[in-house]
Amino acid sequence: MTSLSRFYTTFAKELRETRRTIAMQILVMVGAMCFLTLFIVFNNYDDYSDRFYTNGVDPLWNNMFALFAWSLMIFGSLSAANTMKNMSSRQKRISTLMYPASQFEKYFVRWLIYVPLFLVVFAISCFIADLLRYVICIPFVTDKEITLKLLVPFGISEYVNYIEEWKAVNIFFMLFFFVQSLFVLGSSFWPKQTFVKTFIMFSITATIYYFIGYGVYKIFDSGYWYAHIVNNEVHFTPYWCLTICGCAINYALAYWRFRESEIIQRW
Amino acid sequence: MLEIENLTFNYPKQRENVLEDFSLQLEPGGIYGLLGRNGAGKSTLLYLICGLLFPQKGRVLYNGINTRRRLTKTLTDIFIVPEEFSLPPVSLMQYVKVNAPFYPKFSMDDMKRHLSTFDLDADVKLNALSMGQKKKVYMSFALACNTSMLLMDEPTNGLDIPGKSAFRRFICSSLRDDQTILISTHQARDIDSILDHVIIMDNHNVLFNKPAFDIVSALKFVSTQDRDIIKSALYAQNTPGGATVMLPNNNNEDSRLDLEVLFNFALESPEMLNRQFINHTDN
Repeated sequence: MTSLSRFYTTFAKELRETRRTIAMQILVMVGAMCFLTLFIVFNNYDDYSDRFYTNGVDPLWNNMFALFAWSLMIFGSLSAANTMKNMSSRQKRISTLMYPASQFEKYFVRWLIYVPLFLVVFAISCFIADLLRYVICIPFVTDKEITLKLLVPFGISEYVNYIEEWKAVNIFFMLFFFVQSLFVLGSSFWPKQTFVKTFIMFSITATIYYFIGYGVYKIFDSGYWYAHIVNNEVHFTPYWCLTICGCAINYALAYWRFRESEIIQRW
Repeated sequence: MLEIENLTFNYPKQRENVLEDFSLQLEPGGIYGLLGRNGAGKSTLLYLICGLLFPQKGRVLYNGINTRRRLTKTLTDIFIVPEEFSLPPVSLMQYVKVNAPFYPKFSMDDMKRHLSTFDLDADVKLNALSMGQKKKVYMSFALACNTSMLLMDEPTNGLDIPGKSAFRRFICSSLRDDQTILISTHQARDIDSILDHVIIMDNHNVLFNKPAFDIVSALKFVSTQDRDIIKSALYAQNTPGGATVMLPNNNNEDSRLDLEVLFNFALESPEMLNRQFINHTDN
């Protein structure tokens, strides 16, 4: 099914042939995050006054964390939507399906680049954005301590302590990984205009499930479960297991769809 | 060896099958020409052979393995040069560096030799080439991979006149004894001098399938202005000043295969054409 040397050759081929596109996408992502960082810094500079700088917590970090969260969701989805872009035209399909690597290797290499490697690149982009904030603020905010938040493990711990709420972070990351896997699945069904089509399909499906779920909850539940989650300690392990299973199913379906691909779109 | 067994295939939303109960066998070694009208299913057949399309019925076996499975050991031994293809925006040497390792029999010396046949330099950027140049580069790479089966769909489309004669030279000089090349084309004149075997498709199936040697043994192709010969010929195609005719080769005379005349006659009277070979064998 797979061989290590051939896997390495496949990986090198994919990186070499798409390096310009990937480099452009990284530049756009880093550029957008830097631009938004500048926007946040200059619009919230006054937050460094004594009114807001309480308990030694950097007041800009709230906005920065929101920037990182939204960027992760948007750019993560865009990156995942490019996973099967090599199948977007007849000529590209011929080229992709005919080179002598196993279908699994071809799929896995693309998944590796656009899903986990994206996270590494994104983390570096966050660091660059935070470094920009640090470099801009240091000359102007002389009486307060400005630190690079991302040198502390991902900066999340301080934010979590600040809001005293792990739940939102857990829910966000579960949602992110699941949405990312949905866009990978979407890219294998719609290699062209993946982001738009998957977003529309996901929105429609989520809306239907929401109304079904809300309807069922309204009929059968007196509010016990909602109050239980909000007020009590919740162990996220089973929810993480569900998320991982959901992601694995999406990735497996995407692989199966790719494996059954022809040079024409039958459905 | 390639075995095509009872293939039936249609495209989505098309009522009629492109291929119906289509069977064919290609022995190793030789250059096969695949001819047919527009829409006969030539390109479709090539894609089915590679496993790029899946048939509704039947199967394609390459050395006993179903090509639909797209196993790497099959893919390392089959190469297709499609009519339209895409090349990444890298230099030729980078392209060779990342793609050649997939083909164990790839030869850099062969690659350079083929490029020089086409008067091309190895040090080029792929996205700076014209369509015809890209085709030459891609065909050079295809032959340099030394796969046992090479499929070419309209290979001379987009080639200039020197390129077409270079193509003929390059196919004939590079062919190994165990290598099979299947060329699908409308440009009969570009390849009639290099074919070992002629296959004509029509009505979803094989209409005619004979080695070139048998064709020129049973038939002769003559250009003439003699009205009597033209009248008595099996088939005559008008040319300026006369006609090219096809006659039974009763005296075992040598003549050059005229693929265009053969093709037109095959479409017009396939039974009469096939009868010529039975008659020749009886004689």
